[in-house]
Amino acid sequence: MSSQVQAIKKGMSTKDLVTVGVFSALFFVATLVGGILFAPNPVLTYFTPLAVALVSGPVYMLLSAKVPKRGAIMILGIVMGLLMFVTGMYWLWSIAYVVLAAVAELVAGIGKYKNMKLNIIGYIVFSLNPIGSYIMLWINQKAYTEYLTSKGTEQAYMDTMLATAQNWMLPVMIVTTALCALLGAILGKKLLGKQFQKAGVA
Amino acid sequence: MKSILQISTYKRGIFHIDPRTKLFLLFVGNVTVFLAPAISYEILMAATILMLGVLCGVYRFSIKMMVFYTGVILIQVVGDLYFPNGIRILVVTFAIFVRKIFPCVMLGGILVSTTRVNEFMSAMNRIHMPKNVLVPLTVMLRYFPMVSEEWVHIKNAMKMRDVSPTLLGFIKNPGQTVECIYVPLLMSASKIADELSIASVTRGIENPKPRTCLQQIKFHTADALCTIYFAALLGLVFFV
Amino acid sequence: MISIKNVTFVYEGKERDGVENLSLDIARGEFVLLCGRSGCGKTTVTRMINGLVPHFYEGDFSGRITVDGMDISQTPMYQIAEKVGSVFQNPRSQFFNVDTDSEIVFGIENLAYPPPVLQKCLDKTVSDLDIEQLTGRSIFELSGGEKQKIAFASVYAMSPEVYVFDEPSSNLDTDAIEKLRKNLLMLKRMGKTILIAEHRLYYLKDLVDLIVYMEQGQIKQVYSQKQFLSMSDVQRADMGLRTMDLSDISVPLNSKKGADCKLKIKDLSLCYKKHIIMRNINLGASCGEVIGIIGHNGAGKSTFLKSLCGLHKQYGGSFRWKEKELKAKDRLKISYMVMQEVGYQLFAESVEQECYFGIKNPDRQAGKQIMRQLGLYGYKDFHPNTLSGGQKQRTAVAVSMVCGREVLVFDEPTSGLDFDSMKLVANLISELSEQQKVIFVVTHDYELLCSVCSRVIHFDDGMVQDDFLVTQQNIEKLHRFFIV
Repeated sequence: MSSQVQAIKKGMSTKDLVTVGVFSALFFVATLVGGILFAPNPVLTYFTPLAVALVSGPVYMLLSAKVPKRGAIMILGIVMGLLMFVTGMYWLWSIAYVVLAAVAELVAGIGKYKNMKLNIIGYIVFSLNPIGSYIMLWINQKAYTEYLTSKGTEQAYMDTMLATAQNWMLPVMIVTTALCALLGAILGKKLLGKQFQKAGVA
Repeated sequence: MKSILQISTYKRGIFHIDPRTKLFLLFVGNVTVFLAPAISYEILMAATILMLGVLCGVYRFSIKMMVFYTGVILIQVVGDLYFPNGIRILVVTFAIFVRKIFPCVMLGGILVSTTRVNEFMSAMNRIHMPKNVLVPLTVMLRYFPMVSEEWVHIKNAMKMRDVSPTLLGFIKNPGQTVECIYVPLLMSASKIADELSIASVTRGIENPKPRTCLQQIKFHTADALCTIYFAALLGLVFFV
Repeated sequence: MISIKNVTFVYEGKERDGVENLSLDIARGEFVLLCGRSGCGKTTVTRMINGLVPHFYEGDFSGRITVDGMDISQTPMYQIAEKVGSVFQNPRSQFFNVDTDSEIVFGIENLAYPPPVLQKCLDKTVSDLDIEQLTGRSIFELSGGEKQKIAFASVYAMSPEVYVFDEPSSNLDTDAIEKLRKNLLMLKRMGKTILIAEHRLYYLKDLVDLIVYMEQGQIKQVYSQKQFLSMSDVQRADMGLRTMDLSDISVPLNSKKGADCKLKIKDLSLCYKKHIIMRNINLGASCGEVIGIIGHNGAGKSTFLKSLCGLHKQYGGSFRWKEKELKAKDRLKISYMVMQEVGYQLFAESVEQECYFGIKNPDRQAGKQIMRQLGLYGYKDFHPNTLSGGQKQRTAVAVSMVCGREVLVFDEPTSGLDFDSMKLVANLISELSEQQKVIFVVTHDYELLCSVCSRVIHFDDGMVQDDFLVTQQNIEKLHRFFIV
């Protein structure tokens, strides 16, 4: 085979880029589905990252099986981040997409993008991204406190509220999202073995 | 939902803003809301965006969003005063959360609904977005509306096999429902990815020369006005 | 212009479809038709000329291909693209953009023409191909035929010397094929070199200079237009080729009309997105009848099928089955549609599992019997996605039989199928008819229609235009619709 063909094979080929694009669209739809089901509800809103992590697992796993190359996940992160930014989502979410995608790339890269366990760990890291938009609640704490105090809300009540929110919500969210991501990834792995590899598409 | 960006070619409203300006406005809007020192400031921001929406000709969306925003603020205030403790924490926190992200979501909604896909891609081209991001992004915007077409077919196929394509069906029989959705969807996605890449390589997408673009985008007075106004708003944050 | 010398190509991980020690020379301005059974390697020949082999598809390649002096295996794809334009089978997945203007200039944007030139090329393409009404549109509102026109326009705008078509008519209706034929004629007059791999031959009969017949990866015979047209029908059918002339196709002298109507449709009107698209449909169908449904794009054929199967609920009127009125939910239980994109309705990991998918306590003995009957038993452990188009269809039919459905609906069952597979579909439908199923077939395929349907219903302009038996007396009506 010609050297030209070999050269293209190393990096991302056009086919890889198009595949990443198609799967990014599916990933976005999965995120949207999770978001629409949970985000607009005061109680369920904190479960949004869980739902998203669960439903987008198979999409991610098939993408990493189809394009086991450096850059695939990074591009997914950048494209998703860009789209979130354009649709006016909280900016830290976009940043989280890019940063976590970079970490996921590094993790998957250790196994040359072909080690299933490392890919799953990569996905778990990546799926923490929606928490980026909830972090705002904790970052804004100071302004929030000042605002409430100026309105004369009881300091005690606020302290309790912040303490509750602060102390356990964030870690719980991270742990449960990671668990859901693990489940989603395992589901993806199952479908890969049972269906997609047999069908010759992965 | 047809697409995240507009496909059709019609123009409306007094302002037509360049996509690059829109990105800048979003950036400034995000920073401003983030640094906003008081709720009054956020309300000013929201009012500005409402005005922008009206100028861009997005009337219904802007008004709907404004009503919703007022509602959220009311819930926050009323909830704070009258709700019992447990619910108060929950509701008020959520209201604050929504309030914080709201101006940008609204700005995003307005900008997205007034931008055509080819215009956006042209802007991406002009700000020298690398091909490795530009190609997936184009494909994504292209494939996104197709997902809903595919979903209609898959839903029909599921019904014919007596598998309910609803949330209830999923709860009753998760394993089967998951297979029915993911298998055809991802198979079809793989096939389309292959055919789409073939259609693009045979039309020279791998040309190393930078692509040109039919759609030419230009800055206008409206862009300058918006830029100056938003920059001033941001400046205000530091002086107030 | 094109020279292929001793080329062998084997796709990675695939035994079929490759070519073996193939040589072919094509002169400038020649119009060449590649034909043969599915998997004979004709698509591979088109890929060797547009560079997809060896650049895109992986596999073992040897030999030498040159196009206009360019060594294909040593030239990058984007340089080949300037010389060789390609149009493919599926109009749906050839689009890179979401609006027609951007799509037409997609290729020349890649060639980095300056913007004023882009505009000029766009204007020229639009006026040359007479597609003013398609400019500035979203691709999601176009029909298959319109999409194909845009795909062609995009290639035309790059003004390549060589055009390669891979089964371009597969998803087109009669009118769109006629338009395609006119475009091909225009290219021929411009002196372009044209290669086309096709199953449907009739629309090409006045255009071709050279016909290359392939078998199992090798060129079996090269014919001139005259030699090819003088071939007898028996000979042609033996070669697995479709007819060259639609007027050669015969229909039975008389068909018998079904005696008792098991299925009765009364005063049916169909709505789509709040518009009434069809009204006053009254018809009956008896068991064993095969009813062909014809009509132009957007005539409401698919909506009719969907409401018949209980999938489309915006309708008025009633459906009766054995004198009992059936609601949409009940119709879902007695009917089954074999979709055009049959991939959407295959869910399981093997053909056997597919037959039993979603059924509690399936009758495995009966399932085996059905798989044998449809020639699928040998493939029972294969993943449905690895099967050929015809086999996938049969798998879907097997499912309907395992579920014991009475009304079967086929949506364009022969798009992209060669003569042999078309015959198989026809036989399958006849067999189902003998089992006393009620069968509806929506099709643009005149050959299929004549060989299997006993009756034809013509939908157009929001109503039933005609309802007649397929007999010698009514052949004029069919000829008129299919532009024979």
